Amino acid sequence: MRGSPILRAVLVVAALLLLLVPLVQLTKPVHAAPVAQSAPPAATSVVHLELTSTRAPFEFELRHLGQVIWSGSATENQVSKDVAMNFPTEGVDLELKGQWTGGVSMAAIKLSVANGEARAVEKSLWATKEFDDVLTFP
Amino acid sequence: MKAFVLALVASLVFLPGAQAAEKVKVCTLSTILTELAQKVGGDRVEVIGLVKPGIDPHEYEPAPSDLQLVAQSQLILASGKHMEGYLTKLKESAGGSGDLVPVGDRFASLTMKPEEGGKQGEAKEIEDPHWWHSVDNVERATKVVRDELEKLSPADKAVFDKNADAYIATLEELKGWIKRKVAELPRDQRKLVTSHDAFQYFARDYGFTIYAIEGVSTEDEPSNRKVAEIIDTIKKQNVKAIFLESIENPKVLKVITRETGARIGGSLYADGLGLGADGTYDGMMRHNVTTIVNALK
Repeated sequence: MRGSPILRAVLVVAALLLLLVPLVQLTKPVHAAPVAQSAPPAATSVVHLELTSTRAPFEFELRHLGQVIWSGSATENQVSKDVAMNFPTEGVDLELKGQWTGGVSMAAIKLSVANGEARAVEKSLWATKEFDDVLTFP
Repeated sequence: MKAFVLALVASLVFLPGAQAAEKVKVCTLSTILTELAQKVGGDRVEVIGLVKPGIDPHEYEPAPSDLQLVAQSQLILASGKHMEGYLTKLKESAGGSGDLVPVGDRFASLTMKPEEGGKQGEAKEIEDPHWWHSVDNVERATKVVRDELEKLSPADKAVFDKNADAYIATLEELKGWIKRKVAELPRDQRKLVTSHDAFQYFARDYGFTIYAIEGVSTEDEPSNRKVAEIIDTIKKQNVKAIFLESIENPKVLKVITRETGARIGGSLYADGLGLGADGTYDGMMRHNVTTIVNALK
C-alpha cells in the first residue's frame, strides 16, 4: 500500500469509526416496552340475576369486585334484576350478604345468574338469620 | 397421728396434681406447626420450634443441639410431603422414643412435574409440600395435632378438644375473610408469578393460575429457557405484578421485571411465618392475600 503513513492511519481510524455505529446499535440494551398495566377489559354483558328465598321478608346486598351491584329489601320470596357487568370466561365471584327479618328456623336463599343467552347457574346459601358468602359463577 | 393423716391427705391431693402438671414435650420442624402445637396444647405442652421464623425449611439442617431436643421430645411434628428430606436420619441420629408425625402426609397432596434438569431430575410428578397455603389443610393439621396430643396425654383430652375447636373457629373466620378479599380481584386477573412454586394449594382454593420461576424447592435454579418462557407468559397474559418471597434471592425476578415492565407486587411468605404482625398463621395469610390482591387489582 502506497501513500503517506499518516493518511493510511487516518483512513484506518475512519473505517473503525464507521464500524462503530452499527456495533453500538447492535449492542445497545433494548428496553422492553412496559406491558399494558391493565388487561383488556372483558366484554360487558347484560346478566340476569334472580334471588329466591324460602322465607320472606329479607334484606340483601350483592357485591361484585367489592362494589354493590344490587341491594334492597324483598317482601316476596323472589326478586330479580338485570345488570350490565363484565363476565370473563373465567367466571365471576359474587358476594351475597343479607338477613331474614323474621323467623328463627333454618332458611335458604338461591342466587341464579344467567349471562346473556347462556343457561342460568344457581348457587344456594343456608342460614338461620344472617347470610354472607362468596359464590362463584362460571 | 393427726399430723400424719393430714400429710397423707395432702400428698394424695397434690400428687396427682403434680403428675398432671407434667407437660407434653413437643418439638416442631415448621413455624406453622409450632403455632398449631401451642394453640392446641395451650399450657399443657412445652413446644420447641427447631425451624425459626425466617429460616428456609428447604435448606434447614439440624444442628447437634437440635438432635438432643428431638431425643427429649415426646412428639416431633414435621410438615411431611417430603419437605424434610432429613427426617429418617434425624430420628435415627437423635434416638429417643418420641413419635415422629409428618403431619402433611395425613391428607391429600397436589402434585406437579419437576422442572427439567432440576434437582429432582425425574420425570415422575412430585408432591407440593406447601400444604399450609390452604386454610382447609391447616384445619386438618389442627385435628392431627389434637389427636396426637390426646394419645400422649389422654387426661387432657377436654382441654385439647376445646383449644382445637377454638383455633378452628378462627381459621373459619380467616377463610371467610380471604374469600371476600380475593373476590375483589377479577377472576381473569388471578395470575400469580412467584419465585418458587409454593402456592399451588392457595391457587386451587381461590382460582389462581401459578407461573413459578423456580421449582418446588428454593434450591431449584431456573433454567434460561424457563425464565424466557415466564417473560413470554407475563407479556401475553398482561400480568401486572410479580412477587418476591421473604426468604430468597430476588435477582431473577428483578431481571424479569426489567424485561417485561411488570412491577414487583411485594413480598410473600411462602415457607413459614414471618415476624411481628406476620408472625402468626392468620397474620401471614392476611399479609399474603392483601399483597396479592392489591398488586393485581
